[in-house]
This record gives sequence, C-alpha cells and structure tokens, in this order.
Amino acid sequence: MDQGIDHYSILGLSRDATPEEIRRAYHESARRLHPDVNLSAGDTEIFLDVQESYEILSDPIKRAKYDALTQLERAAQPVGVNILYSRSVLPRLTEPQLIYVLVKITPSTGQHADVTPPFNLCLVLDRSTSMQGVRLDTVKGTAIELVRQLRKQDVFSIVAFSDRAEVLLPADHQLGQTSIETSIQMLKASGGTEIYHGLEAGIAEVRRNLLSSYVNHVILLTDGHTYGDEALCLQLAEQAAVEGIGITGFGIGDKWNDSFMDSLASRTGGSSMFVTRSSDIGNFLKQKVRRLGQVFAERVRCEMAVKPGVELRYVFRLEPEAGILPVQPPLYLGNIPQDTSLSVLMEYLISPIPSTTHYESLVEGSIKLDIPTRPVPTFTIHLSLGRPVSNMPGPETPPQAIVEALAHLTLYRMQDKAQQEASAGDFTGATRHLRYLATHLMVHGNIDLANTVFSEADNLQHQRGYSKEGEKRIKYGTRGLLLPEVSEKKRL
Amino acid sequence: MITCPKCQKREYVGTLFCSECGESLVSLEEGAVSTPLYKATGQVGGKVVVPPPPPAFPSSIKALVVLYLVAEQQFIPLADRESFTLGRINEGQMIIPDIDLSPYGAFEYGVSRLHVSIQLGEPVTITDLGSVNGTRINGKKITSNVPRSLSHGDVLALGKLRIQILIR
Repeated sequence: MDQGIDHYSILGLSRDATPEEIRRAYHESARRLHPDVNLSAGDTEIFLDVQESYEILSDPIKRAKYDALTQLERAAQPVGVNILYSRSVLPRLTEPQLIYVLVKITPSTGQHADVTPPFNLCLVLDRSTSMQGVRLDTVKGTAIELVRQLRKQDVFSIVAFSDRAEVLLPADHQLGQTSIETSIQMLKASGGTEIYHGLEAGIAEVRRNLLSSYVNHVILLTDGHTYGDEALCLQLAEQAAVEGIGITGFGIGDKWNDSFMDSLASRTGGSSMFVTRSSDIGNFLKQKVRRLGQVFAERVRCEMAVKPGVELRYVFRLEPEAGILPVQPPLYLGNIPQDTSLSVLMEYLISPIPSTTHYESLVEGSIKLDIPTRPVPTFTIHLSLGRPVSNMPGPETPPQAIVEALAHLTLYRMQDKAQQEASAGDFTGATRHLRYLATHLMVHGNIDLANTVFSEADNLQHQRGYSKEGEKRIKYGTRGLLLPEVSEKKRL
Repeated sequence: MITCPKCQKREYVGTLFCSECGESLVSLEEGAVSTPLYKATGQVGGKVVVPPPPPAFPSSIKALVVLYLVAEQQFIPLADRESFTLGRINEGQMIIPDIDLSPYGAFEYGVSRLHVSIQLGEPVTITDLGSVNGTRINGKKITSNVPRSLSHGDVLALGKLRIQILIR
C-alpha cells in the first residue's frame, strides 16, 4: 500500500466520515473521473488513486487497519491539519477563476496536556479624559481582579497611557499585592489618547520576559481616536509580530477607530473587539485573559510562496477569533486554543490554465507554530496546495464547511463594501448593499442585527451617514457570524 | 465569468456567493463548466421520489403559494409578505418562526425550531437554515444555507414532515 497518499483527503473526506459519506464521495468522483467518460490525460491516474482509496475505506477491516497505521503517524504530530478545497478538480478555462481553500489546524488528541503555558501579558489601558467614570472604574476593578487571579508562573504588567505612558505594574514579581492594588486604584483620568506611547511601553514590558515558553501578548484597551501616530503604531505591531508578541485591541463606545485597530491587531495575528457597554469591559477582558491561559500553540505563521499566475486575494480566520488578516507573507494566523481549532479560509484567483498544465500548484511553503510547553517549541508543517486540472470536470457541490463559511463571510464583506462606499460618498450604493445585507440576515434568523442594519440604511439615505455606533455594531455583528456554531455554543 | 441571476453582477468562475447582493451562486457555478455528459440528476446517493399529483387549489384560498400538509391534508396559505420561516415554537425560544408547524406533529417528525425559509419570488425558493434533520426536495437532500428553487407540486420533507408546494 502506498502510504504517501492520504485516502481520506483524496476523496475529500474527514477522518470521521460515515460509510454513506464515503460511498457518496466515491460515486461522485467516479462519475467525474471514470475512464469511459473522461478524455483528458492525467485523470485516469487520479481515478486509480480514488479507486484504491475507496477499496480501503469501504471495507471496515481494511479501514480500521489503515486508521491504526496512520494513527501512529498522526499521534506523533502535535497538530492535525485538514485541508478542504471548494473544487476537487479545476476546470481548464481560458478565463480566470476562483478557488477557496479551508485550512484547519487542530491539536491532536492526547496532546491536551494538563499543563497550560504561562502567559507574559501586558495590559495597556487608556486613561484619557473620556474614560472618566464608569469606564475607568470598571477597568480598574477588572485589573485588580486579574492581578488576584494570576497563577504563580504568569508574568503580568500594566501600562496606563494618555498623551504619555506610565508603567503602573512592571513586568516582574517584585511588588507586593497591596501596593499593586493601591497603584491601580490611584489611576486618574486625564489627557488625550496617543496610542503609540502606550503601545511602545506595553511592548517594552513584554519584551523584558520574552521567552518562547510564554504566551506573549499585549491587550490594548481604548475608547478614543489616536491622531498622527497610526503609521508608527503599525510599524510597532509589525516589529512585535516578528518578535512573537500578539496584540488584541478592545474598543469601548463609539469614538475609537475600528479599521485602525483591526489592522494593528491583525498584523500580529490578533484581533480587535468591540465593547458596546462599559459594564461589559470586565467580562470581555477576563474572557480574553482566560483564553490566553488556555493557549495550545501560539505564533502560528505561514511562510509561503504563491505560484506565478496565482493571487491570494483574501485571508479570513473563522476561528478561534473571526477576522480578516493581511495577505502579505508571512501570514500571522494567531493562536490555537486547546479546546478548538484554528480555521483559515483563503481565496485564490487563478489565471487561465494552459493546456500543458495537468496539476495547478497554488502555494508552496510551511506553517510554523510554537507550542510553549514543548522542550523545542517550534513545529513546522509542510504546506503544499494545489489541484488537478481537467478539461471537462463534472459538476460538484463544494464542501458544506466552505459554503457555510462563505455564506457568512459574504455578509461581512457586504457591510465592508457599504462602509467603503459610504465613506467615498456613494450613499445610494451603500444603502443598497445594507438592504441586501439586512434581507439575508433576516433569512438567517439574525433579527436584531437585521433591524440594526435596516435602521442604518435609513440613516444613510436620509442623513447621508452612519451613526458611529451602528456602523461598529454591524461590523462586529456580521463578523461574529463567522464563528462556527459549535464554538459559539461552547462559549455559552 | 458567471452572472448572478438576481442582480446580474458578473463574477469569476468559482465564486460561490455574489459580492453585490449576496445571492448563492453554488448551483450556477456547476452549470458554468458542466457538459451534458455529467448532467446532475437526483439519482446519486438518494431515492428519487416521484411527487404525487398535487391536489387542486382550494377555492377559499386566494394566496398564490400554498403549503399542503400531506399527512394532515391541511392547507396553509403564504400571503401578505415575501419571506416566511417555517419551524416549531418551543418554550423560551428567542426567534419565532413565521409559521409554527407544532400542531402538525413537527416535534415528532424532527422539524427544527427554525428549519427553512421560503421566499416568494420568481422563482419561489427555499433555504434550509441549518436544520438538524435536513430538508429534502422530492427526496433529494439540499445543502444548508443555499437557496433552491421550487416548482408547483414539489414535495418537501422537513425532517420527516412532508409538505407539498402549490404554486398558482
């Protein structure tokens, strides 16, 4: 038996496929690739592979043997990688075409060690005048709570910033509990918001204990717009990403700049979140810190060369935190929690395929990730994406997981489009897209969000602009839809 | 390129959802590259159910589209709006379906709380909303979240609850 081929992925199946699914997958491939109906070269070889795979997987005894055999190989791997394509065979076309690839990385069973890595975390808090009152009080209360809940091995620091930064709690364990709490209590709101100073000081604190056995992270919490230092902040984030420091951004209220915060966090593989009510700050922060304490692998990064004639157009992370990631390599994909997977959906545009090509290679490269609890943290997975080409491939239905992800992603992209159109002054276009969006949300059963979108569409039409709050609600609301339902339930 | 049937936007082959209006292009994409040799039929992996002849429109109902519950021999007209969700009402439920199928044994038949939505348009379409037991049109299971068009006389199965679609 040729062990080089994965019999499951040849048939486009997952490891837990039912006999019925295996049978159906085989029939579909066979209908497409059978030598009697297929004229293009190269397909016969694929058909033989398909046949061999089916012979093994359809026989319970042979399948169990194959599973056991590959189980050993798979168990030695700390993570499993599952790749799905929107088409199993590409049609040879004289025009460009799109293909979607869903890459899912899951910690292998048996890898759920009892030990979770310690974190090296800096909380960067906005203390500008606008934070005065409930917001700052909630933040202070939560910070004290977090300090009390620290595990012995964790490193925790706090930086407060307005138009300058001040280290409230340095990143070492020198201070006594009481004096930490006092210095947090003393925090007073004043001044403007200049994120650069705060971020710089925060990253410097994390850097003091920068070890790959830690989960290194900065949480930035702000309620304001930063002016003039955006470019510097982004540079800082890029540097942090290289060093292995992740950034999560929390925006409170409606004044902060969400697209800036998004690009800041996503440069490190992190994401930004929207806190609507001040009273929610505590829960959001605590949840984030808890999740950082449950990280299985961090700094997941993808170093790859996209083949000539192929363009990577979008990268979306579906879980653990939904968000759009930059397409420039290396791609920083974020962390993998112990109890869930990291799923990333990529959209590739392929140029017309010449008649000499029988296998279209998309990218060649590797995914690297750090597992802090391992003696040698860095683990590398070879990544090679590509699909066979046929002159006349049969019809096929894309995998359900891709269709579902894209159904939601399309909604997110529609709001993105509407937002861009509105800021460019095209209110007719923006209103139209919001109306489409609202209709789809209704159909999906997201009645509340749909109503928000409808009222924003009215705002746009009559007042020529979004309400700032509504704009963010729609953005983070549609983004929330990207999370797979299972993990949503887990969180409840 | 392929064309969105709803808004006529041109998209690349391989696009699964229209970027303009969000319409699903999944079935369209198949058609763009398929040849008569591989014409999709309902025969693979499922039994094709020949729908029984639909009953005549009850004269008391003016609606253009009517649901006919096969087992109960009951008619439910769809009127006054363009979109209907079908499901069953459960205590403490946040989202209520427009049409509650509980009186027709929805629970026993395996109907989800929010099972499908039906859009009255040209054509009339149905979308499975990620139901647990799935939806079949004339015995063929449909993919969740992808709208499918319906014709007069089609028999739906929401779980095992059979409903025939009558379109005037």
